[in-house]
Amino acid sequence: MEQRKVKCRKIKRRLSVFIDGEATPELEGKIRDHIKSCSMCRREMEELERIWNLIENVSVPEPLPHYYTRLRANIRSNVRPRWRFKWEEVLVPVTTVAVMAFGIFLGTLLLKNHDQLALESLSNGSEELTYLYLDTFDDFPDASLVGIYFNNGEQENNKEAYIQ
Amino acid sequence: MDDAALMVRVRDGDDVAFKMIVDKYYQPVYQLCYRYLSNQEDAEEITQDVFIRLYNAASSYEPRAKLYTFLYRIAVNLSLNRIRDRKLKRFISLETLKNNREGVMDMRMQAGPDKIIEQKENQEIIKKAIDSLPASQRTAVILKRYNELSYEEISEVMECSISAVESLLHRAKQKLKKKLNHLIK
Repeated sequence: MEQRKVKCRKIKRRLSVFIDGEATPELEGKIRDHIKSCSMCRREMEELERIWNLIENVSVPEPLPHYYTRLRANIRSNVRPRWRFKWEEVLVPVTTVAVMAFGIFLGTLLLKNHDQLALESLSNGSEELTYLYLDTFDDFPDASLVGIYFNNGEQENNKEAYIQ
Repeated sequence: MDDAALMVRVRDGDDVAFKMIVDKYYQPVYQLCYRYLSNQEDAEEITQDVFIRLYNAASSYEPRAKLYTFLYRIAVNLSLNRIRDRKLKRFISLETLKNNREGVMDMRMQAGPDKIIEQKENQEIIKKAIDSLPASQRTAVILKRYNELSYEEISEVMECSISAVESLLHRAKQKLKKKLNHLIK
Protein backbone atom coordinates (compact mmCIF):
# COMPACT_ATOMS: atom_id res chain seq x y z
CA MET A 1 0.00 0.00 0.00
CA GLU A 2 2.80 2.35 0.99
CA GLN A 3 4.70 1.42 -2.17
CA ARG A 4 1.62 2.19 -4.26
CA LYS A 5 1.29 5.61 -2.60
CA VAL A 6 4.94 6.41 -3.36
CA LYS A 7 4.46 5.29 -6.95
CA CYS A 8 1.31 7.44 -7.28
CA ARG A 9 3.19 10.43 -5.87
CA LYS A 10 5.99 9.98 -8.41
CA ILE A 11 3.56 9.57 -11.29
CA LYS A 12 1.51 12.65 -10.29
CA ARG A 13 4.68 14.74 -10.28
CA ARG A 14 5.37 13.77 -13.90
CA LEU A 15 1.82 14.11 -15.23
CA SER A 16 2.49 17.72 -16.29
CA VAL A 17 5.39 16.60 -18.50
CA PHE A 18 3.20 13.85 -19.95
CA ILE A 19 0.32 16.24 -20.73
CA ASP A 20 2.74 18.68 -22.38
CA GLY A 21 4.01 15.94 -24.67
CA GLU A 22 7.54 16.31 -23.31
CA ALA A 23 7.89 12.91 -21.66
CA THR A 24 10.49 10.46 -22.92
CA PRO A 25 9.07 7.30 -24.51
CA GLU A 26 10.08 5.33 -21.39
CA LEU A 27 8.29 7.72 -19.01
CA GLU A 28 5.25 7.87 -21.26
CA GLY A 29 5.01 4.06 -21.21
CA LYS A 30 5.28 3.96 -17.38
CA ILE A 31 2.55 6.62 -16.95
CA ARG A 32 0.18 4.97 -19.43
CA ASP A 33 0.63 1.58 -17.72
CA HIS A 34 0.03 3.08 -14.27
CA ILE A 35 -3.12 5.08 -15.09
CA LYS A 36 -4.69 1.96 -16.66
CA SER A 37 -4.89 0.44 -13.19
CA CYS A 38 -4.98 3.53 -10.93
CA SER A 39 -8.26 5.47 -11.03
CA MET A 40 -6.97 8.27 -8.77
CA CYS A 41 -4.02 9.08 -11.00
CA ARG A 42 -6.20 8.75 -14.07
CA ARG A 43 -8.70 11.23 -12.61
CA GLU A 44 -5.85 13.61 -11.69
CA MET A 45 -4.52 13.45 -15.25
CA GLU A 46 -7.97 14.08 -16.75
CA GLU A 47 -8.52 17.10 -14.51
CA LEU A 48 -5.15 18.58 -15.42
CA GLU A 49 -5.83 18.05 -19.12
CA ARG A 50 -9.20 19.77 -18.86
CA ILE A 51 -7.72 22.74 -17.01
CA TRP A 52 -4.94 22.97 -19.59
CA ASN A 53 -7.48 22.91 -22.43
CA LEU A 54 -9.73 25.38 -20.60
CA ILE A 55 -7.08 28.08 -20.34
CA GLU A 56 -6.53 27.94 -24.08
CA ASN A 57 -9.90 29.65 -24.53
CA VAL A 58 -8.75 33.11 -23.51
CA SER A 59 -9.04 35.38 -26.50
CA VAL A 60 -6.58 38.10 -27.32
CA PRO A 61 -7.47 41.11 -29.46
CA GLU A 62 -5.65 41.62 -32.72
CA PRO A 63 -2.85 44.19 -32.83
CA LEU A 64 -3.84 47.61 -34.10
CA PRO A 65 -3.57 47.90 -37.91
CA HIS A 66 -0.63 49.54 -39.72
CA TYR A 67 1.75 48.43 -36.98
CA TYR A 68 4.71 48.46 -39.37
CA THR A 69 4.14 52.10 -40.37
CA ARG A 70 4.00 53.09 -36.72
CA LEU A 71 7.12 51.06 -35.99
CA ARG A 72 9.09 52.81 -38.74
CA ALA A 73 7.97 56.18 -37.41
CA ASN A 74 9.02 55.19 -33.88
CA ILE A 75 12.37 53.94 -35.11
CA ARG A 76 12.97 57.21 -36.98
CA SER A 77 12.18 59.26 -33.88
CA ASN A 78 13.99 57.04 -31.36
CA VAL A 79 17.04 55.89 -33.21
CA ARG A 80 20.12 57.91 -34.04
CA PRO A 81 21.75 56.84 -37.28
CA ARG A 82 24.23 54.18 -36.34
CA TRP A 83 27.22 55.99 -37.86
CA ARG A 84 26.72 59.26 -35.98
CA PHE A 85 28.79 59.94 -32.88
CA LYS A 86 26.62 60.68 -29.85
CA TRP A 87 28.01 64.08 -28.92
CA GLU A 88 25.62 64.90 -26.14
CA GLU A 89 26.46 61.67 -24.32
CA VAL A 90 30.16 62.55 -24.31
CA LEU A 91 30.10 66.33 -23.92
CA VAL A 92 28.63 66.57 -20.42
CA PRO A 93 30.99 64.16 -18.63
CA VAL A 94 34.04 65.50 -20.51
CA THR A 95 33.11 69.08 -19.61
CA THR A 96 32.59 68.14 -15.97
CA VAL A 97 35.97 66.44 -15.74
CA ALA A 98 37.67 69.36 -17.50
CA VAL A 99 36.13 71.90 -15.10
CA MET A 100 37.15 69.83 -12.07
CA ALA A 101 40.69 69.41 -13.38
CA PHE A 102 40.97 73.12 -14.05
CA GLY A 103 39.68 73.89 -10.57
CA ILE A 104 42.21 71.56 -8.96
CA PHE A 105 45.01 73.04 -11.09
CA LEU A 106 44.00 76.61 -10.21
CA GLY A 107 43.72 75.79 -6.54
CA THR A 108 47.16 74.17 -6.51
CA LEU A 109 48.64 77.16 -8.31
CA LEU A 110 47.10 79.65 -5.88
CA LEU A 111 48.27 77.69 -2.86
CA LYS A 112 51.77 77.47 -4.26
CA ASN A 113 51.85 81.23 -4.84
CA HIS A 114 50.55 81.81 -1.34
CA ASP A 115 53.31 79.66 0.17
CA GLN A 116 55.86 81.41 -1.99
CA LEU A 117 54.70 84.79 -0.69
CA ALA A 118 54.79 83.54 2.87
CA LEU A 119 58.36 82.32 2.51
CA GLU A 120 59.43 85.63 1.03
CA SER A 121 57.72 87.52 3.84
CA LEU A 122 59.44 85.44 6.44
CA SER A 123 62.84 86.07 4.96
CA ASN A 124 61.98 89.81 4.96
CA GLY A 125 61.10 89.59 8.68
CA SER A 126 57.43 90.29 8.22
CA GLU A 127 55.65 89.73 11.51
CA GLU A 128 52.29 89.17 9.89
CA LEU A 129 53.17 85.76 8.53
CA THR A 130 55.23 84.32 11.36
CA TYR A 131 52.16 82.74 12.87
CA LEU A 132 52.21 80.29 9.97
CA TYR A 133 55.58 78.87 10.91
CA LEU A 134 57.29 76.90 13.55
CA ASP A 135 56.71 79.24 16.45
CA THR A 136 53.01 78.53 15.87
CA PHE A 137 53.64 75.04 17.10
CA ASP A 138 55.54 76.03 20.26
CA ASP A 139 53.76 74.70 23.31
CA PHE A 140 53.11 78.10 24.80
CA PRO A 141 54.28 81.01 22.67
CA ASP A 142 55.31 83.86 24.94
CA ALA A 143 52.64 86.24 23.76
CA SER A 144 49.84 83.75 24.28
CA LEU A 145 47.61 83.79 27.36
CA VAL A 146 48.95 80.46 28.53
CA GLY A 147 52.47 81.67 28.01
CA ILE A 148 51.80 84.79 30.05
CA TYR A 149 50.13 82.70 32.74
CA PHE A 150 53.01 80.32 33.03
CA ASN A 151 55.60 83.04 32.75
CA ASN A 152 53.89 84.94 35.58
CA GLY A 153 53.65 81.72 37.52
CA GLU A 154 57.40 81.20 37.19
CA GLN A 155 58.07 84.72 38.32
CA GLU A 156 55.89 84.18 41.41
CA ASN A 157 57.72 80.95 42.21
CA ASN A 158 61.05 82.71 41.86
CA LYS A 159 59.81 85.49 44.17
CA GLU A 160 58.79 83.01 46.88
CA ALA A 161 62.10 81.21 46.64
CA TYR A 162 63.86 84.55 46.94
CA ILE A 163 61.81 85.55 50.00
CA GLN A 164 62.52 82.20 51.60
CA MET B 1 14.77 32.35 -45.95
CA ASP B 2 15.49 31.51 -42.32
CA ASP B 3 15.62 34.04 -39.50
CA ALA B 4 19.41 34.11 -39.24
CA ALA B 5 19.77 34.94 -42.93
CA LEU B 6 17.10 37.63 -42.65
CA MET B 7 18.86 39.20 -39.67
CA VAL B 8 22.15 39.28 -41.53
CA ARG B 9 20.37 41.23 -44.27
CA VAL B 10 18.85 43.56 -41.66
CA ARG B 11 22.36 44.07 -40.27
CA ASP B 12 23.42 45.14 -43.76
CA GLY B 13 20.60 47.70 -43.88
CA ASP B 14 17.93 45.73 -45.75
CA ASP B 15 14.55 47.17 -44.69
CA VAL B 16 12.58 44.59 -46.65
CA ALA B 17 14.18 41.84 -44.57
CA PHE B 18 13.30 43.74 -41.39
CA LYS B 19 9.65 44.02 -42.52
CA MET B 20 9.57 40.27 -43.14
CA ILE B 21 10.74 39.61 -39.59
CA VAL B 22 8.23 42.08 -38.15
CA ASP B 23 5.38 40.54 -40.16
CA LYS B 24 6.35 37.09 -38.94
CA TYR B 25 6.75 37.84 -35.23
CA TYR B 26 4.68 40.92 -34.47
CA GLN B 27 1.50 39.04 -33.61
CA PRO B 28 3.07 36.34 -31.39
CA VAL B 29 5.08 38.97 -29.50
CA TYR B 30 2.01 41.19 -29.17
CA GLN B 31 -0.09 38.30 -27.86
CA LEU B 32 2.63 37.37 -25.38
CA CYS B 33 2.69 40.95 -24.08
CA TYR B 34 -1.11 41.16 -23.98
CA ARG B 35 -1.36 38.03 -21.90
CA TYR B 36 0.88 39.67 -19.33
CA LEU B 37 -0.60 43.13 -19.41
CA SER B 38 -4.28 42.59 -20.33
CA ASN B 39 -4.22 46.03 -21.88
CA GLN B 40 -4.10 46.67 -25.61
CA GLU B 41 -2.31 50.01 -25.41
CA ASP B 42 0.45 48.73 -23.16
CA ALA B 43 0.85 45.54 -25.18
CA GLU B 44 1.16 47.63 -28.34
CA GLU B 45 3.75 49.91 -26.77
CA ILE B 46 5.88 47.06 -25.43
CA THR B 47 5.69 45.20 -28.75
CA GLN B 48 6.87 48.28 -30.62
CA ASP B 49 9.70 48.63 -28.08
CA VAL B 50 10.77 45.01 -28.65
CA PHE B 51 11.18 45.55 -32.38
CA ILE B 52 12.88 48.92 -31.95
CA ARG B 53 15.42 47.16 -29.73
CA LEU B 54 15.80 44.42 -32.32
CA TYR B 55 16.46 47.04 -34.98
CA ASN B 56 19.02 48.79 -32.76
CA ALA B 57 20.76 45.50 -31.97
CA ALA B 58 20.84 44.40 -35.61
CA SER B 59 24.19 46.07 -36.31
CA SER B 60 25.88 43.77 -33.80
CA TYR B 61 23.77 40.67 -34.50
CA GLU B 62 25.45 37.29 -34.30
CA PRO B 63 23.31 34.20 -35.03
CA ARG B 64 23.93 32.48 -31.69
CA ALA B 65 20.42 32.04 -30.34
CA LYS B 66 17.16 31.57 -32.19
CA LEU B 67 15.61 34.92 -33.09
CA TYR B 68 12.26 34.24 -31.49
CA THR B 69 13.81 33.28 -28.12
CA PHE B 70 15.63 36.63 -28.25
CA LEU B 71 12.37 38.46 -29.05
CA TYR B 72 10.35 36.63 -26.42
CA ARG B 73 13.00 37.22 -23.77
CA ILE B 74 12.90 40.97 -24.37
CA ALA B 75 9.09 40.92 -24.46
CA VAL B 76 8.88 39.01 -21.15
CA ASN B 77 11.36 41.33 -19.41
CA LEU B 78 9.72 44.52 -20.67
CA SER B 79 6.25 43.23 -19.76
CA LEU B 80 7.37 42.32 -16.24
CA ASN B 81 8.98 45.76 -15.87
CA ARG B 82 5.73 47.38 -16.95
CA ILE B 83 3.76 45.34 -14.41
CA ARG B 84 6.20 46.40 -11.68
CA ASP B 85 5.78 50.05 -12.71
CA ARG B 86 2.05 49.68 -12.59
CA LYS B 87 2.14 48.24 -9.10
CA LEU B 88 4.23 51.16 -7.99
CA LYS B 89 1.75 53.59 -9.43
CA ARG B 90 -1.17 51.54 -8.04
CA PHE B 91 -2.85 51.81 -11.34
CA ILE B 92 -3.58 48.39 -12.75
CA SER B 93 -6.17 47.01 -10.36
CA LEU B 94 -8.50 49.98 -10.61
CA GLU B 95 -8.18 50.30 -14.39
CA THR B 96 -8.49 46.57 -15.13
CA LEU B 97 -11.32 46.17 -12.67
CA LYS B 98 -13.10 49.11 -14.26
CA ASN B 99 -12.59 47.67 -17.76
CA ASN B 100 -13.66 44.21 -16.64
CA ARG B 101 -16.72 45.51 -14.89
CA GLU B 102 -17.70 47.62 -17.87
CA GLY B 103 -17.27 44.66 -20.19
CA VAL B 104 -19.42 42.38 -18.09
CA MET B 105 -22.08 45.07 -17.46
CA ASP B 106 -22.34 45.80 -21.19
CA MET B 107 -22.87 42.14 -21.89
CA ARG B 108 -25.60 41.90 -19.27
CA MET B 109 -27.45 44.89 -20.60
CA GLN B 110 -27.48 43.52 -24.11
CA ALA B 111 -30.07 41.00 -25.09
CA GLY B 112 -27.39 38.39 -25.94
CA PRO B 113 -27.47 34.69 -25.23
CA ASP B 114 -26.54 33.68 -21.68
CA LYS B 115 -23.85 31.36 -23.01
CA ILE B 116 -21.84 34.25 -24.44
CA ILE B 117 -22.05 36.11 -21.14
CA GLU B 118 -21.02 32.99 -19.26
CA GLN B 119 -18.06 32.48 -21.60
CA LYS B 120 -16.97 36.07 -21.14
CA GLU B 121 -17.15 35.74 -17.37
CA ASN B 122 -15.24 32.46 -17.47
CA GLN B 123 -12.55 34.12 -19.56
CA GLU B 124 -12.17 36.80 -16.92
CA ILE B 125 -11.91 34.16 -14.20
CA ILE B 126 -9.28 32.25 -16.17
CA LYS B 127 -7.35 35.45 -16.88
CA LYS B 128 -7.36 36.37 -13.20
CA ALA B 129 -6.23 32.88 -12.23
CA ILE B 130 -3.27 33.07 -14.63
CA ASP B 131 -2.45 36.62 -13.50
CA SER B 132 -2.39 35.44 -9.88
CA LEU B 133 0.44 33.00 -10.59
CA PRO B 134 3.97 34.02 -9.59
CA ALA B 135 5.78 35.74 -12.46
CA SER B 136 8.02 32.80 -13.39
CA GLN B 137 5.14 30.30 -13.40
CA ARG B 138 2.99 32.68 -15.43
CA THR B 139 5.79 33.14 -17.95
CA ALA B 140 6.20 29.38 -18.34
CA VAL B 141 2.43 28.87 -18.78
CA ILE B 142 2.13 31.64 -21.39
CA LEU B 143 5.13 30.44 -23.36
CA LYS B 144 4.00 26.81 -23.28
CA ARG B 145 0.24 27.13 -23.69
CA TYR B 146 -0.05 30.12 -26.00
CA ASN B 147 3.29 30.45 -27.76
CA GLU B 148 3.63 26.64 -27.93
CA LEU B 149 7.33 26.58 -27.17
CA SER B 150 9.05 23.38 -26.13
CA TYR B 151 10.57 23.00 -22.66
CA GLU B 152 13.99 23.54 -24.18
CA GLU B 153 12.91 26.76 -25.92
CA ILE B 154 11.23 28.02 -22.75
CA SER B 155 14.45 27.34 -20.82
CA GLU B 156 16.34 29.49 -23.38
CA VAL B 157 13.86 32.36 -23.07
CA MET B 158 13.77 32.20 -19.27
CA GLU B 159 17.48 31.41 -18.98
CA CYS B 160 16.93 28.48 -16.65
CA SER B 161 17.26 24.69 -16.81
CA ILE B 162 14.73 22.36 -18.43
CA SER B 163 14.02 20.72 -15.07
CA ALA B 164 13.23 24.20 -13.67
CA VAL B 165 10.71 24.67 -16.49
CA GLU B 166 9.15 21.27 -15.66
CA SER B 167 8.84 22.24 -12.03
CA LEU B 168 7.35 25.65 -12.83
CA LEU B 169 4.71 24.16 -15.12
CA HIS B 170 3.86 21.38 -12.67
CA ARG B 171 3.29 23.87 -9.83
CA ALA B 172 1.42 26.28 -12.10
CA LYS B 173 -0.97 23.53 -13.22
CA GLN B 174 -1.63 22.53 -9.60
CA LYS B 175 -2.44 26.14 -8.68
CA LEU B 176 -4.66 26.61 -11.71
CA LYS B 177 -6.48 23.36 -10.88
CA LYS B 178 -7.29 24.70 -7.39
CA LYS B 179 -8.60 28.01 -8.75
CA LEU B 180 -10.46 26.71 -11.81
CA ASN B 181 -11.70 23.27 -10.75
CA HIS B 182 -15.23 24.59 -10.32
CA LEU B 183 -15.32 25.54 -14.00
CA ILE B 184 -14.65 22.02 -15.22
CA LYS B 185 -17.09 20.23 -12.88
